[in-house]
Amino acid sequence: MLEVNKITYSYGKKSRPVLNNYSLTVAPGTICGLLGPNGAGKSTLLYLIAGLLRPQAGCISYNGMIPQDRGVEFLRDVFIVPEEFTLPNVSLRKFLDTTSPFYPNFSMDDLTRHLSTFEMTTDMDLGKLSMGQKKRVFISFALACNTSLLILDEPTNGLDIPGKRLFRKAVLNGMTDDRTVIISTHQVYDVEKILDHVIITDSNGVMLDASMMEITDRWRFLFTTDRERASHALISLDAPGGYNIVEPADGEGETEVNLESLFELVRQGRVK
Amino acid sequence: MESNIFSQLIKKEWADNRKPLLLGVLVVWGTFILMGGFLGSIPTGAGTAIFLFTFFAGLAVSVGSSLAFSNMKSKEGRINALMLPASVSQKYMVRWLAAVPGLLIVVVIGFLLGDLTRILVEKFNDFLGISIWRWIQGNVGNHNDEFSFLFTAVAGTILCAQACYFLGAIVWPKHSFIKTLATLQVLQVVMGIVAVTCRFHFDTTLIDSPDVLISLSWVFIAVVCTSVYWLAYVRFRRSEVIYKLF
Repeated sequence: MLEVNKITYSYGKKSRPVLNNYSLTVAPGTICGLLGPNGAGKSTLLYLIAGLLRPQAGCISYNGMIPQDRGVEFLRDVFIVPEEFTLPNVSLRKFLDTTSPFYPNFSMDDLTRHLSTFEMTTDMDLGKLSMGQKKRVFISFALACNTSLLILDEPTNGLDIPGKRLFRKAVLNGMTDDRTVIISTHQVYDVEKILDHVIITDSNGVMLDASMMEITDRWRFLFTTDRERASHALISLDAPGGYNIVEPADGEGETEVNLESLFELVRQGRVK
Repeated sequence: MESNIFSQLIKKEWADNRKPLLLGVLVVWGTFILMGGFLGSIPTGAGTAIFLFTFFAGLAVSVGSSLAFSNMKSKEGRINALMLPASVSQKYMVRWLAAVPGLLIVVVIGFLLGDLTRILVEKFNDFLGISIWRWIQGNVGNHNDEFSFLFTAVAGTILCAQACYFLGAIVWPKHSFIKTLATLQVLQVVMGIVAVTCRFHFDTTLIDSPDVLISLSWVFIAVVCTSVYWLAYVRFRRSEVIYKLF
């Protein structure tokens, strides 16, 4: 269980807090999407959860461990894939030989499986890969480390079109009941089909914290060409040839969640 | 398990940084050899050689130490370093071993290689090549106090400078050498003023024995180096993904 309790963080003593009295709880076994506008503090929150920053007030705990202590047990159980990262210019085998022993639950079989999902093999030189290929390898390695908390910051940036599809497949393949995956992204279409929990946030706190089931129980996400219907919807966004709208579910059949529409619904304060 | 992590850390650091480390060692040894060859071809004697070799040794140690945390100058590098599952003390110790005793061993070997090259070139040119060590024994050996003072001053300066540049490396991962150099210049001026002030207020004849003075100097050097390395550890432990001076 990840618990963020009333934390405050600012980048300078005189600057406005990026996160102010911010609280959040994420249960294990979920793929949680963290969405928010630019400057809402999503990456800052991820760094705080990973122990890479220290909150100025409040506390964070993950399975009873304090991230900012950066204890070995915590670091063995948490993996962060930042938006930008570096890999050494060595062969993948050499990288695995020197890095995987730090992660007690690392599985070579899992790595081979995830690389295979990404249509790659273990026989490659990391120095000769493109950024997108490196990202495929790094995400595969992150999944194969079998840490119980996996943090992905803008994971689909730099991936090509098939790469994004394969990313979704790899994450779903790597899910277990006791694993928590937090994905922060602006590329909502890349991840909306794999999320089972959504947190929409800004610097003042969590604006929506709901499972996909709760969301589909409350709202219907539809496309319509009917201008009249669009004008009566909770939210209506222009789309090619019509409108993406959100209506109360009112017991009608479930629809697929459109995260862009959901985000606007929350951002405009139309969630009751 | 802990020693296993430590040996794994050494293995990882070596695998990730092998090329720049080997290149650095070759540059240091190559420069000493070139200096030795040059000094041998215009025989100036061991006295000039010891001065130039010591100056370069100090420079190599300072530059080398200031690169100890160079892989933490980018955000990505800091994430890699801080998220690696090992304790802070283990991560610090691996870098300390490489940048302090490891670097000193490289420089001493370079010193010997340079001197050997100088002697060989001098002999090739029909000059009497005398090694620095023999020169010290033959020329300064009769004035032990003088040599001991000189050795303490030079070695102490190099060791303290190395500690300061190591601390500078973690305080300023970017442009560490220049920033530490500038800070040390300011400190030097301040310490000079303090030393002159002390000279007028304390009876320095209390320390009239050279042995006592040299021993006190080594205690001072040990205290300074230990304190600076401790400060570097504290600063390393406080490191975050976003660079902050303090």
